Amino acid sequence: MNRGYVLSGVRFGYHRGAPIVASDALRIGPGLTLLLGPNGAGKSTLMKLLAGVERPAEGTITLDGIDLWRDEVGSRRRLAYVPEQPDLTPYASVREVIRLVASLRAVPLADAEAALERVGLSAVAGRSVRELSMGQRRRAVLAAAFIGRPDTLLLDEPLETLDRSMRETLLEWLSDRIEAGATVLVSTHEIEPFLAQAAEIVTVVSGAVRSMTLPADPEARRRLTEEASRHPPTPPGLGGEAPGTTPPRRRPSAPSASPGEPTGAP
Amino acid sequence: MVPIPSIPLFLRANILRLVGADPALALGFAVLGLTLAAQAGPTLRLGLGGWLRSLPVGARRYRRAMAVALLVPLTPLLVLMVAAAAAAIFRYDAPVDPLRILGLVCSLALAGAAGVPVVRPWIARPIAAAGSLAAVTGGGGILAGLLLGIIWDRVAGPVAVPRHQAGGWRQSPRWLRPMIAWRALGARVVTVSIAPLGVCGAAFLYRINNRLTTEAAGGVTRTAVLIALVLTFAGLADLLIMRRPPWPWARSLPVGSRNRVLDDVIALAVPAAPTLLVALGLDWKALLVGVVTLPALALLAAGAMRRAGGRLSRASGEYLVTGSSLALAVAWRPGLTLVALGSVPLLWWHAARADRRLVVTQWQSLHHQAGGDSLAGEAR
Repeated sequence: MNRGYVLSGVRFGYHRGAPIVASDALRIGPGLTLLLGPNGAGKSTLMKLLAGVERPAEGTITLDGIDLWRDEVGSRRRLAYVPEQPDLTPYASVREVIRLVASLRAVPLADAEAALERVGLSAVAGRSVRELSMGQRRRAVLAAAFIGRPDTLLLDEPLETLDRSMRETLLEWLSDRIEAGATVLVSTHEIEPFLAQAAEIVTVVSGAVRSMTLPADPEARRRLTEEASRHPPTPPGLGGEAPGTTPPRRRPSAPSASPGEPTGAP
Repeated sequence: MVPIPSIPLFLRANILRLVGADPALALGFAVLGLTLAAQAGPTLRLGLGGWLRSLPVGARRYRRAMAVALLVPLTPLLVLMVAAAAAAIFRYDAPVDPLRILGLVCSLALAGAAGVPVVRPWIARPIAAAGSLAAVTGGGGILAGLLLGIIWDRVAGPVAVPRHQAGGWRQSPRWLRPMIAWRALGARVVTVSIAPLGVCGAAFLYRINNRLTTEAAGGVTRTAVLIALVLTFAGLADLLIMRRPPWPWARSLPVGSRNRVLDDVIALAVPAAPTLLVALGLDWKALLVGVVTLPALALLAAGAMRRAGGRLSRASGEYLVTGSSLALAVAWRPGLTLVALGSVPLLWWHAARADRRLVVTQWQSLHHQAGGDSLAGEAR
């Protein structure tokens, strides 16, 4: 069985004929993968596709060999998604939402209380998310991610608005999950805290998705990720556009698999 | 049978009643104003919240401003009143009582006050509502209304911070998903039920005022019950689209599209209980037909909700066509009830497919109401 994500011929856009994300072939395996790219490139949209929030207009996405849209329950059972916007319904208390997640992941409801305790929200768990600060809202979504030891984690700007202690809690938990063999994809502009553990990077440039293996040398890793987050390497076939220009939306070709070079085919 | 008057005669009679001395229609006008203001109040509070609250405006002025702003959603009633007065004067050459017009205006202003969500609603709302009802009677009623308005201003207190229904419910998480829909609907379910219950009431009156065969009476009741169900689901579906947009993050949880559709079917079916209870009082056979057809009707509504997208007609545009067609077919040929029941798996699959195809994070300005949107980060 293929662990992690496999994307084949994926196209997605909010309006017909204008794809925001396009990926002919991409594999995201176990370990930490950083999702990099400039603002508005389509990183969060790719996250939504991988989380099963949005369905690709074309192509398939499988997680651990299960199609996200053929077996919706099975593929999402051990998936945790932390969106950039803490997206919780205003019609339920934080405790109710966390208990719902626990019941759906088939873990004891006591785990929900433990998760709330871990993020420091026990005292306000009876409130609606609308009565919480932005940092507390993000903690609430993180509490949901902590439940049931998920082995696929999608984190969109996870450190944003978190205080120092919560950042440390999150990074410790991430390290545990990575050591346990989880597939972790982090979209971030704060690369430093994740760099040491990252195995690969995925770049999104105007919707075109590429992946590349990071080299072992720390300095080379740093240079590559910084370059990728500022102006990601242009994939073969898209031409040598200058920074800030919008390349034409074309289907990217399959890349090679050597360190520092784009990869993609599963 | 009481003969139905012609439409021009009906209009003329009611216009003259509204601006004349008869208080009954004017009281109905005031009740309508109070209902509209109560509906608009919470939405207006959202719109006037946020950064606006940082401006140097005191709590009392802010509350008064909200009461005045609530006249905006009441504008259709003001326009109606002016049109009625103009028609009475220029078309029907009838006398118009200026005190009645003044009373109607005062009544709407006090309805606006009653619609403001304040920290002491249990005392402020009845006072403002009583003032609104008193004012429409004209003369001394206007003075009483103004006096009650002044008392409202004294006792109402500041605009209340919204208290979300959260935390009090200790049931299984399984029921949270339909519960979210019911919380989003709230007391609006009552307003949605008015038209369907009216249809059932009309069927009852038709039956008792006409000598019908058993078969014909059954047909009338079946039609009324099924159309009442369609109207209930159409109203609820539109409300849910507005007040409970799709919850994107929840789609990353292990819940399939079929279960999401099932949650909506449960959420729609429970508020239909009053209609079914009325049907039981009318004819148990009609109730049976209604209960058996209900899943198919609710699934059609759940599917229409998912295809509403940016349509101006929302879900009810599509649903009133499909749901009414099914309802009328079953009412005409009760044997088709079994076909409706048999089509449930297909309708469920179709609605689930529409659910999977939803683009849930796309901005839908036509149907957007930040109060129920999980992505409206700053709304409180």
